[in-house]
Amino acid sequence: MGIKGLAKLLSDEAPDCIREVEFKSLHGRKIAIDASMAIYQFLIAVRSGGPNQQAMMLTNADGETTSHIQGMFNRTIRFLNEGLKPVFVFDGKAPNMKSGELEKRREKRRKAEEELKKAKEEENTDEIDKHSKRLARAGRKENEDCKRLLRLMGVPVILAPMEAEAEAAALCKAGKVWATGTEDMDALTFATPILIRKLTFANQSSKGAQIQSMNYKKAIEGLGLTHDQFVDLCILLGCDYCDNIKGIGPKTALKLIREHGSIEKILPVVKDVPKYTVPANWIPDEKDKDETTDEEAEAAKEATTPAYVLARDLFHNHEVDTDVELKWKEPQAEELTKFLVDEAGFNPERVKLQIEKLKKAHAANRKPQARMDSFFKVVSNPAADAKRKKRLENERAKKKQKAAEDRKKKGKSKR
Amino acid sequence: MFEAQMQDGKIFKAIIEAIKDLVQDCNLDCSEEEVAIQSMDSAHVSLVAVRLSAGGFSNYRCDRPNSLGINTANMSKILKMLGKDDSITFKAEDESPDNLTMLFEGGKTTIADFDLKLMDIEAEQLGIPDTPYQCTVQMNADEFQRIVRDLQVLGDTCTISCGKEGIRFSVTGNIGNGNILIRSNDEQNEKDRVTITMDEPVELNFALRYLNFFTKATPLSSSVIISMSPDVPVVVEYPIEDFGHIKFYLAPKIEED
Repeated sequence: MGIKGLAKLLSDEAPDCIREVEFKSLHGRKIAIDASMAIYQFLIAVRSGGPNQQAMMLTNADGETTSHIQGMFNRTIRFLNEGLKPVFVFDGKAPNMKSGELEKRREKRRKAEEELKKAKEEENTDEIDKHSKRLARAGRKENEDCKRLLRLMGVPVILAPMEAEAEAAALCKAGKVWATGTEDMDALTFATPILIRKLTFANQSSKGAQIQSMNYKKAIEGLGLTHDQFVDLCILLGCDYCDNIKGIGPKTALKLIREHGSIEKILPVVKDVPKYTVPANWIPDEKDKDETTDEEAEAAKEATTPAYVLARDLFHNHEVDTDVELKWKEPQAEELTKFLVDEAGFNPERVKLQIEKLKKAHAANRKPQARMDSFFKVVSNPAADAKRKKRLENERAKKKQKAAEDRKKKGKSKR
Repeated sequence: MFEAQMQDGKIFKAIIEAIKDLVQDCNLDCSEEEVAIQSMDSAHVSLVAVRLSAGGFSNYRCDRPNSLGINTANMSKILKMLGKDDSITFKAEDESPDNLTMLFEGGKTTIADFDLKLMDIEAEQLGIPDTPYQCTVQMNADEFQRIVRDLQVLGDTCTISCGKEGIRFSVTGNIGNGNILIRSNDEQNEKDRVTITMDEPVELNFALRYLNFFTKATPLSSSVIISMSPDVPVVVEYPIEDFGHIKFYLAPKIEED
């Protein structure tokens, strides 16, 4: 999923782009949330059952899963209560280039299925739990359920032409929303000005894991790259759209991009180095080029264009639709109750209470509290900035020193 | 080296008490001319700006501009130990100091010194332009505090309208509604005087919860100055003697079409 190792690379190389923010500070913000990611998380997280007991997904009387409805309903109400304005973006058709990645995911599911069978035979609850979580999948039905739920709640639902992250990033670039909310680092590759991660309430109490805000401009400035170079870096790190060069880790990838500027220029350098394996479809066969009819031209083009160029094209020119109107409407209480109580089998009392909350949040949002930073511009405070920079540098130096010491220790213990 | 002595330590204590419910952490920005604090609350709805000019201190020395990050709750704990008539002397190193040293001195017999651990605070500073306001009202600070406190029983949003006849605070809630009008007058007694200067009438909506936080600064000043212009944050200012002020900015609630 996403870009391999990008989050860590950014925290090491461009720490200034990552900020931890309090939930409260997001009030009044419009955020485009990747719905598939959220549904998937709920399918895994919202389960019944205590410790040492097999956790079960929530289901209605007919045995249909309702974990995602429960999660989506409750979390969205909390978002609205905090004054945050969510927009949910659903995936459209998957790009052709993603088929390889999707095939890999299917393979993993097959494996998990087998393991689950084995675990069930052995009656090992921990293992059953682990593997059934791996089998969780946000399918068509789950997506449709959530769309219906959100529309009844009066929350805008956007159907992306293709990938949801790309659509969310485009909405953000167009100024329709303030940020993209997903765990998927792809959103940064699609150049969303701001990416919000860990947008949940689960970790509010423990101080360790707070909501993360990533600033795209500061990220590429921190890495010292242009947008084009950043996209190439992401492809080298490993994206959903094509394989990457085996043997090149994040540090090397960054170094190569900084030195050479693009994948085209890097290829000749790494092609003959034995420890690096360039995927076959990165260097197309020139021979097939002649024998093409008109119909096959398109397919042939795909076959002869290096995979990384196609992937890059997907990042640069993704099909998006920014001509949308975002409106937060009054919730349809009656319909909503019908859906949640009669169809999903939720507790009527609780649904009633939650709908009350939802109505209250909607009323409060009609006269929304303005934010201070929409009136006054952020300026720099030179003394505090200098101090912060120094601290970040110190931390980095310490980390490096520690890493060196660790290496030394390891070396010694081996001897 | 930063070193400054405040003869009347109570003032600093009152400032920290006034802001500690609104902001957890903030920077004391020390420069040659002044000690300043600027910070937003965690929801970025309001902003506190404190200014104490160097002239308000005795033995003021600040060799280079420095930002001292403090936790207001911890600062408040230390200030609990301040005697009624004590002076406070602040001391901090130039190069990224770890501590802010404070000496509390009262009379000739007791000297107490405390080190408060400093922290690095990433705070977004806002540039506030020095624009004139359409309406400015100066009134008794206790009166303002009472109004804000009383109106909270009715609802959470207060409409403040300033016109020729005076300044009106209105709240509409589930149990009913209420208005309090303060007329301008020119009482001899400065404490009760209400002066209104205005170009155009202004009406804005504000969250009472925040206004209530602001009135925590009432002990600092006998009068409060409220400034408003259409569609911009209100300013609630408490002058501090003749050498500083504490200003609270609050973003209005906006009617959506």
